[in-house]
Amino acid sequence: MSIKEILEILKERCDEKVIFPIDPSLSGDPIIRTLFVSAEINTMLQDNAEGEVWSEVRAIMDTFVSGGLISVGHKATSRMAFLKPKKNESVWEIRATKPKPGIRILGQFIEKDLFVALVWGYRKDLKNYNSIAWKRIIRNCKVEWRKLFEPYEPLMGETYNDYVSNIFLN
Amino acid sequence: MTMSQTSFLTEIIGGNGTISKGKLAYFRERQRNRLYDFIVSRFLEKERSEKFSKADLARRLNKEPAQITRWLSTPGNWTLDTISDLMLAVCGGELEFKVAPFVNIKQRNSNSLEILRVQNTPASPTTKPTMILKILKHANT
Repeated sequence: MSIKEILEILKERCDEKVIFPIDPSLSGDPIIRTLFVSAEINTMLQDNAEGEVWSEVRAIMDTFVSGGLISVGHKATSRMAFLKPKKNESVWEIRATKPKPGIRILGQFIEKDLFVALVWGYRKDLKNYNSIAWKRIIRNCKVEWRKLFEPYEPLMGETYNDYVSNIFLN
Repeated sequence: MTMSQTSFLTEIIGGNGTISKGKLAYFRERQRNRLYDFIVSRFLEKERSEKFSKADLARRLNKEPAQITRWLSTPGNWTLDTISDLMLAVCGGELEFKVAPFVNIKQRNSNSLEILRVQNTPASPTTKPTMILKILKHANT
């Protein structure tokens, strides 16, 4: 399937209102990368726009879309991380750590700098990376991807730079 | 997820009432990210052009390398002191200040959905979305 075909699917999913594009909240900010969110995450962003936790999530998403430098890696402080790279599962997380409770947003890349955020969880509920909760949310992420985009596979890169531009590697 | 610029900034531009916790949190994170981008991008430039390393930065600031690694991986715990230290050691200077009023904010000409107009572009099957976006932006100017 070509990128043209997957973009047509994206448009269909937007028309069906099962995914939503994120444009920067401030109209002066450029659109350099592209981010779509699932209906569930879109609802959380809208329903919690007056709260601190999801407002931070929104600011991080805006930074991603407007092309800001993103710290990437496996340190707890990295903004984005590639989960289980050795297994090549291609599931990424966005980390919103402040204020507590921290939130983890999981999703997959269609192409470099084109990310779809699919599921989310509170960090405290997910516990450590070997927990059942983590395995479950990763599985849910992949299930959501298949629901939306099958037979198109997510981007499978070898390095962080294959996925995101303008990164600081931790 | 598109919202009008007016509604997003109303409580900041329009009135004297209490600004919501959400808006305060949004702009705190935004400022952290902007400062992080500004300073760490300059560190990366210096790393490339002068072979300036994290170890060099740690030595200049008399800090443990682990502390420098934490600072460079996230702006979450930066203080004004952190910013001052990094500006001195990385940029050899200090920040200058000016207000960018939101009332003067410019309007964007394009949105993310425009990449979905791919069928109306001359893109080849291998064209990357970012390339398509650039094509569309160019077409809008």
